[in-house]
Amino acid sequence: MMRKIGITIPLILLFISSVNATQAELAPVLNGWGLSPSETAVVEAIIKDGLEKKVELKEMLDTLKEAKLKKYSFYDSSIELMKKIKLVAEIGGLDIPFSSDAEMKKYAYYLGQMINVSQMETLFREMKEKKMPKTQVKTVYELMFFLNSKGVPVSENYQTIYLMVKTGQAGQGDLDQVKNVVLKSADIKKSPSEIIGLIKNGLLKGKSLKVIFYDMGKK
Amino acid sequence: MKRKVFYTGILLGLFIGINGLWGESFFFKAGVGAGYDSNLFSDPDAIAGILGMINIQSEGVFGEEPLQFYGGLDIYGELNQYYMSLDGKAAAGLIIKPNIYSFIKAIGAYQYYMNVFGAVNALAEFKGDLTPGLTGGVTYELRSQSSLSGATNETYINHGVKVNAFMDITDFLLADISVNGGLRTYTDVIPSAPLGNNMIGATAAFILVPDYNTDIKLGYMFSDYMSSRSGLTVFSTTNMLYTYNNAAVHTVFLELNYDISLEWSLTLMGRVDFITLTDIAKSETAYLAGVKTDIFIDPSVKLEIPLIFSGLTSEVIDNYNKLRVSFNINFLL
Repeated sequence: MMRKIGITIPLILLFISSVNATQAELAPVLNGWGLSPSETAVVEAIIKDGLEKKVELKEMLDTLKEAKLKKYSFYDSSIELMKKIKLVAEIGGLDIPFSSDAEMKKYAYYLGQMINVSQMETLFREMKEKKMPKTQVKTVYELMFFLNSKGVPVSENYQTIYLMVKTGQAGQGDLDQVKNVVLKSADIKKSPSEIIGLIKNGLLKGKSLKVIFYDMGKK
Repeated sequence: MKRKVFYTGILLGLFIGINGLWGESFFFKAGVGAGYDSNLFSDPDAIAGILGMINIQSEGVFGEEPLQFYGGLDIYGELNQYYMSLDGKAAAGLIIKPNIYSFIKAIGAYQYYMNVFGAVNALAEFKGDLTPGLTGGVTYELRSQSSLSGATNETYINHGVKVNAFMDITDFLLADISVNGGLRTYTDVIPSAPLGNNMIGATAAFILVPDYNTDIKLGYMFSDYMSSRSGLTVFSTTNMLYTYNNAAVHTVFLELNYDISLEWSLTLMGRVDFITLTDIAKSETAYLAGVKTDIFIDPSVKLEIPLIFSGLTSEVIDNYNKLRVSFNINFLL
């Protein structure tokens, strides 16, 4: 009996302290938000659920801070937080290339905010099959973020990059060339979306990237 | 009247171009430049001069695929101590992309070359993929040109047809083969009767793309001109040779593009036309060699430095050659 109490008390203390630690970190984020006690309880419950799904507290707090900065309502903030937990949990279940590297993991999470989980899974599988080195995988992510910033629709962006990886034409030089041509899009009188569309169509037709870029500039 | 049409065309081009601003497919390029030409009039007198030039190009495509509207404007002006010239073209039309394997374009345009000519152009183009590595195309172009103020006698109507095939032989070797023909009727050369000068030609070019930063095009072209009259005339005011004579032209051409770095690129070009006039047997050789350097100061500022050497050796008119070099700074949007 004494032995059971001896074990249980420290466990309870540990639990209380961890909850307190969470609350201590959560309090500054929730303070001044004007939430009712029941709303606070909801946020705490979502966070608890996230912790159980092995989502880092800091990430969840960052999401809340961002939602607060954007002046989201309590409802929208909760949705954002749940979306984040769902995303992290889903991505956590994927076979992320070079996932032992924290930076690569972070990039994969950013990617998860652009494309859906099944698209990521397909892309990751192709990258692994092609044995792409770490720097190249990183360049693929960076190119996708770059194209996103240039207003290229996400589906076109993903399909083009996937086809490049699939056809073995996603080497450093290939990826650099896509970025270079998009940067100089005004010179060839084509929008970034049109350039990406032409690459996708060319790859679907079985053309090499070299021929696709030649056609783009000369025709 | 023609000026009105021209200005209306410019306004239409601008309107369509600016409409394009609503979407992302609007492009604008404007530049100024200065240069030197060793033979401004391309004749044996070889009068040299310093030049100033401006260029404005704008192009917009709007609408969703498969049906899109196209508008474009292209102006080039040149000034030196002897003349000022302005060449402007406004175009509008439709682009249809029924699927990723075919492409249809129909464009109407008006071109005004100050004091030289005004021309109406209509172009219809169809391109389609026949097999994964073979693209076929058919182009029809109608051009009706009217000479202004008697600078030349080039008032004509031309119907041109071109059929071409573009082939991927390997991942880095392409072939571009075409057959073209033209039916041309000059109306001002002989006041009493129109004069026909029809042509038929064929071109074969190979393109090698060893890497993204390099492409080489090497080609041969044969053109046969058939005139309805077999007299040979040299137009006295401009010393221009009219091939109102049957003629065969063999042309070889070469173009090499090489990007030294992301910011610097070089184009080397060469072309020689071997012209044989048949009814009065004379020959001429026209040649051109050039190097063009493009420097991107940033993606929207481009410096272009073309240097072109060209000339003619002829048994009909006096030989000449010219060298032209210019520095142009362009702003791209």
